[in-house]
Amino acid sequence: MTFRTIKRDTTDENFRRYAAKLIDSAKKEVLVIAGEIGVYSFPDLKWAAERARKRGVSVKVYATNPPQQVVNGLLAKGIEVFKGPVMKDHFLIIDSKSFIHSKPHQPVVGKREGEVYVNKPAEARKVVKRFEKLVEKSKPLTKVDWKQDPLWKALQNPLDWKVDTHASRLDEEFA
Amino acid sequence: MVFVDTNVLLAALNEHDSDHKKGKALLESAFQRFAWLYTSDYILDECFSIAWSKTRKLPLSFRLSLIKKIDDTVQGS
Repeated sequence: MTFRTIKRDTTDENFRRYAAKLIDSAKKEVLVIAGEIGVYSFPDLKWAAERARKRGVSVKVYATNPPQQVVNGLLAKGIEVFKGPVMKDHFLIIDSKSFIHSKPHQPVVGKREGEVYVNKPAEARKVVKRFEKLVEKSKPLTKVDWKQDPLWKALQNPLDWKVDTHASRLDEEFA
Repeated sequence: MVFVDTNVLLAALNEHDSDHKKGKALLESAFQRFAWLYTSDYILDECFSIAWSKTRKLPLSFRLSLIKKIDDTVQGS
């Protein structure tokens, strides 16, 4: 049984390392209580969530203000998303056994700090109940709005590469 | 299922590509007709490699910013 404090650092690396390790340990279920799901922009955590889904782990996210492009990505991976009232304290709960409590912070990198509880089922179950209550009052987000997708947006305002890439002749060039 | 290959991505994302209009129209139509579009790490790697090699005569700062923009687009999508 472990309890550790996650100290703040400039890139949130401590936080991310603990979170990715916990997600990778998940066997059945990952529950998340978040605000804007800002951590999903970190590739290490995004990939940990993808690995969990590939292992058949159920992933559910409760968020207060999830951007549609993030919701699109989560739904594409079979992650359930619920939107509801603001929760200042955020949690990552693994298999109703271990969890991270992220303390309220400004939504910028370098401000995350919290506590990690490993193999603390009694405490974890209390947080799971909190998650379940929040989900009861929430709205499930099930629709993909592809017009919010960064690739769709890039199509509307294509990048200026300043050179012709001769896309239709790639096979000849690389043959 | 629709799998997006390198040439379509390049043509669609690069307004200077000779097939930009065709690539853009193809990808837009795929977005509108299918719930999900698929690609792979290899395809994305190829896009980055081509962006990097084709712009080798341009300033380094421009090349780095182009790679960053492409990366932001594909990572967020």
